[in-house]
Amino acid sequence: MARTAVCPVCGEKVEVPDDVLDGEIIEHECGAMLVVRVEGNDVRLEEFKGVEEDWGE
Amino acid sequence: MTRLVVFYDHPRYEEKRIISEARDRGVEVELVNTGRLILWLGDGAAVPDADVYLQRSLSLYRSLTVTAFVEALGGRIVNSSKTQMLCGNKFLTTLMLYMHGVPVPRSVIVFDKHEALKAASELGYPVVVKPVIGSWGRLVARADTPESLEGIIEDRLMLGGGLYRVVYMQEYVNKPDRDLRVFVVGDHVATAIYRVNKSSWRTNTALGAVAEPARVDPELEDVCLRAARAVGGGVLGVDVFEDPERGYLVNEVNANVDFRNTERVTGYNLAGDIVEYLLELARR
Repeated sequence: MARTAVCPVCGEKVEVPDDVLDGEIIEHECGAMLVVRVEGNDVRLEEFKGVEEDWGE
Repeated sequence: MTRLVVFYDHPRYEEKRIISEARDRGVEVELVNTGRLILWLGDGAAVPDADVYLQRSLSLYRSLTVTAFVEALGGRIVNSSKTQMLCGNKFLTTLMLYMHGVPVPRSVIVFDKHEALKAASELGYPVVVKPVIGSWGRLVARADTPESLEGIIEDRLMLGGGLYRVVYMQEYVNKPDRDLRVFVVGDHVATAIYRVNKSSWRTNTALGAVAEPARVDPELEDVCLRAARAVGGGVLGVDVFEDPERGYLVNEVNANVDFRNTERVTGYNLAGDIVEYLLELARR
């Protein structure tokens, strides 16, 4: 069953798949890129701030 | 049952594929988000026990730190901190390749705009300016004239970070509108793709290059295996230019490879290959 969390950008409820992993980046239909934070059964969303300097292959 | 710990920060296609292939083989997989770790010196409790560890964090510094910690506890981890460190710094990569006799583009390091201009006139324009740390083609620039090089260097020096004060320049290799990404897993070449970009000289798929399957001939295989050994081996993506006169030149070696497009166009089970390699290490 999908869980819900609030998009910090548009304030709408977002359905988060049950198998989502902590740290996963998802795109919301409002256009925001969001980082999923999973703590136990709780899920919250943070705005994804973009690729960091040392990220990559 | 073999136990695998996968370190990650932002799980993507690649991590999910590796986890799925591992579980299909009966491997017990534990995922550890490196961002959540608290690593006390002398206390290994934060790192779960495993027969083998896989490092897949996107952040180079975080990845290096956690990997060194695991190694200090006696853990076997792919890729090693040595490999990550050498591949994470583009100039160190080139230096190691050169020292091991692997063909590379002509390259130079400078720390000042005036020396950059002198070195570029010797390299011949156009020249390519790269950050020593960075991925997916970010901040890689081509200077066609001394005036444009001056502007690029001034920008870099103003960026503020110490790493941008190390100016890494390379000759511009007159390659076709593509390069090769060759995947080395352990002691074998797994698969390869061309990265074709008809609208830009940069051939990173992150910048719009299109992946196409590529054939690996014995010479390419030899060059890539030597390149992998030069940086300590592991699971690596070797980026190769085809120079019309000199043949294969190794441009970079990547230690935390993306392979979504590769699996898509080649049909090759690279995630499965990586898991087999991890299992082999766990058995040793």
